[in-house]
Amino acid sequence: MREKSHVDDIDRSIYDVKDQNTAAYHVEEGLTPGIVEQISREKKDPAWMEQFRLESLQIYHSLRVPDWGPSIEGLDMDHIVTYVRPKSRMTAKWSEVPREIKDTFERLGIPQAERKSLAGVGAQYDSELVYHNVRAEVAALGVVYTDLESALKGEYADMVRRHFMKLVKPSDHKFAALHGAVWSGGSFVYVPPGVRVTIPLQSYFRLNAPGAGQFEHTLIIVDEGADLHFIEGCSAPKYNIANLHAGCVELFVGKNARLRYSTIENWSKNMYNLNTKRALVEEGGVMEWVSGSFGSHVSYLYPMTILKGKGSRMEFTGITFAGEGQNLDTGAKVVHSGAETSSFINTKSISKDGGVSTFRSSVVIGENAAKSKAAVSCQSLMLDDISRSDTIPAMDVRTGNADVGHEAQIGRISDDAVFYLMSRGISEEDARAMIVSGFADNVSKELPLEYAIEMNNLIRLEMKGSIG
Amino acid sequence: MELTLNRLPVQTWNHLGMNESKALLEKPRFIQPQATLQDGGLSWEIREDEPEGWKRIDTGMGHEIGEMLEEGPVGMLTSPEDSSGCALLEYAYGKEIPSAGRLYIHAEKGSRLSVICLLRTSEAKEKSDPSGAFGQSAESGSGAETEEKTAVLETKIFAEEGAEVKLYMVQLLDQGFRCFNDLGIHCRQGAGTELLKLELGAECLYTGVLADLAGKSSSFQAQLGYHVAGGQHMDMNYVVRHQGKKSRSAMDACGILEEGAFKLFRGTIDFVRGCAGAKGTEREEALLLGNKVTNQTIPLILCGEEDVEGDHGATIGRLDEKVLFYLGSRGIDQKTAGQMISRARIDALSERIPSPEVQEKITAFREEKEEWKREKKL
Repeated sequence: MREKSHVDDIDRSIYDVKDQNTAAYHVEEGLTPGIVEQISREKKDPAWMEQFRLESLQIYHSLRVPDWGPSIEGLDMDHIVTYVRPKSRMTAKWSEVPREIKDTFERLGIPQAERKSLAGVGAQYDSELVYHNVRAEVAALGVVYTDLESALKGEYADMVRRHFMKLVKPSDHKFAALHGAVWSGGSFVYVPPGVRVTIPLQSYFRLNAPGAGQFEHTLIIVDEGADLHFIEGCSAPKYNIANLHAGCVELFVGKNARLRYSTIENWSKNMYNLNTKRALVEEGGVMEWVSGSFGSHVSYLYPMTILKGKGSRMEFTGITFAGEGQNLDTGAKVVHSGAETSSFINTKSISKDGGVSTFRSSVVIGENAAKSKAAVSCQSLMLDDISRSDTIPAMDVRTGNADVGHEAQIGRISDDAVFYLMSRGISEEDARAMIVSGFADNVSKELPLEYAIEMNNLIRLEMKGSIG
Repeated sequence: MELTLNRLPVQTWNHLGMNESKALLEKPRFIQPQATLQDGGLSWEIREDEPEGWKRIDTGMGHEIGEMLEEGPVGMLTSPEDSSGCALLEYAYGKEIPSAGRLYIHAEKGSRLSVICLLRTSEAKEKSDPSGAFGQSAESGSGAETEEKTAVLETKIFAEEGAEVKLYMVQLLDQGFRCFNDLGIHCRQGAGTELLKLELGAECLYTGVLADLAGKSSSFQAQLGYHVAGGQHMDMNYVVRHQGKKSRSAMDACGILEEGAFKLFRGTIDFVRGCAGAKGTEREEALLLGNKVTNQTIPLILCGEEDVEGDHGATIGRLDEKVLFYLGSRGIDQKTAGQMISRARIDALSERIPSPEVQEKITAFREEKEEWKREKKL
């Protein structure tokens, strides 16, 4: 009789280090107009933003929780602290970041990455950015990379106001409304016309406070003919109480511009990750998503692209790894509204140790999207019989002048492949890890080398101890 | 009353409108088919009461429609153990009153049974209505929600150990009809069901199929062909539930949508924990002819078992440009090319129905439909 694999849980020691919870300021638990006003005062919002927050709160109360995804019953908003300010002001020098916070980011490798391979870095700790810097040569090109609060009050205030939550409206769903009410932190990026940023920018989000929420807002505008690669990373230590991440990402890709948005998400396994990401692409523009989902207790994550301009295109490459206690509902959405647009969604998912992985997608081709093309491919790997993997892809084609293709496979690691590798002197554990890494290869090869290595390490750690 | 039908086994975003459908349906009168049995000791009887245990067989459209029909008489077709036989059942639906048929097929151990089931408009009604079989004008794009011109059929198949059932189901109802066609299948160890379904008529069609592969090495194969045009609305829900070890399923849907047509295909392969060694595949090919069409597809794989193989694929789109070029170089215009290819797709399924008489009816119906399309300038 074949023995079943035993797969150890991930070694999260790097991510699980908890700093002492010594926040400078935090609001009370729960969600009331008083708390929202308090956040707004604390952040010195312009008047329109305070009004926007309060209206979003009303919308939040009027909407129901989703009735189609994983259960979020364990999330009690009455016990979530929506704003925690760390004991630090934002700075452009790591030396000015308090030691405890700096140590955390150093363990995560952020300052080292900045020195080696990044054009700029933003580091958020709980509800506020503690570090933001962009290389002088990149800034000299006119590239703006700053925290959103500064952008809201400075030179780019009008631009921010024109775009802020216009793509993801608070009425979209309950957690978009929540975000509108209590958002804090996040980055603003503007790349002027024709500017090509050859090395990536990165924002890293760290949530340290137990029972808290993080609601950062990322707003990126890549103007006509410009080019940018933006990387987002996130992690948190594990607590016994629920934490919440309800961030929002709005991306505007101009005519003939290109934006690549890469994410390695490694939240702790007590996290409810209810994140919303959306991109609007103008004529000839290109949007590329690379997404790795490894952490969280429950995830709802479906980056959406609206292909508005003629000839615009989108590519989504994603991997999800669901282990014990995780229910990760991930995928992508695309709306083709312009003619001759094209999209390709390519995802892999892995389930083990009772983890639940759901791939969910929608491809909508509108009446005016003549000669558009879309392709969806999803593959799922089951590593044991106590896990679960579902695929739920939807396609809605409203014109006869379009082509849509879809394919999906589900299965397990082939015994023959393991046997072949073992016959070449590779241990069974390594053989299985090698097969899973190969399965995830399409994602890792889309990442910068350092991140691909990190992702492969995560997979290797997840697979450690796998025998049978 | 309003019924919830064709609910997906697992829900997705509500705004897509694919999770389920709602339709008004009043309690119908019950009709029985004209039954022609060929050898094999088949028995046909009308049961006034619900036979015991059949309620447990789930159907694709869900329980609400079943509850509405549960007091109606059942036509029971039984093939005795180790026998082999064939039956032709013709359901003729009138236009004035909603009518429903209930058909239960019981294939006892080791039996082989072929059933041809034809749903058509009652000829008596046609004679009183000179405007022709497919000549009724559509009242609205998605089917008028009235209790008139409504055809309902509930079919259940119980295949015992080693039994094999082939069901050929052909729907040739007039435009102006709403049709509710619901099917549930339960296969025990080694039993297999093959379904060939042709959906060519009705203005508004709801159809559901649920195959429960409960027994080890049980199997289900489905081939579906459809052709919808000019305001026809088609709403489908196909589910295969793999419970038995080494169970097999294959679903193949192939159809044509012409100008003004709406089609929603839900297809689910559900690998229930414990169905080790099971394999399931699903294919859909939808040919879009005409600019204003709506094609919705949602193919699900649900997997609670490690040792399975499941895959699905869908191809939705226009006529291949190379094919068009080839035919064009031989003097065949795009419209004619579309007609040729759609005819070929339906013919490929029609030819497999073991009844020349039914094949002729399909041909005649399609000619009438082409005539109707010409009149409507579609």
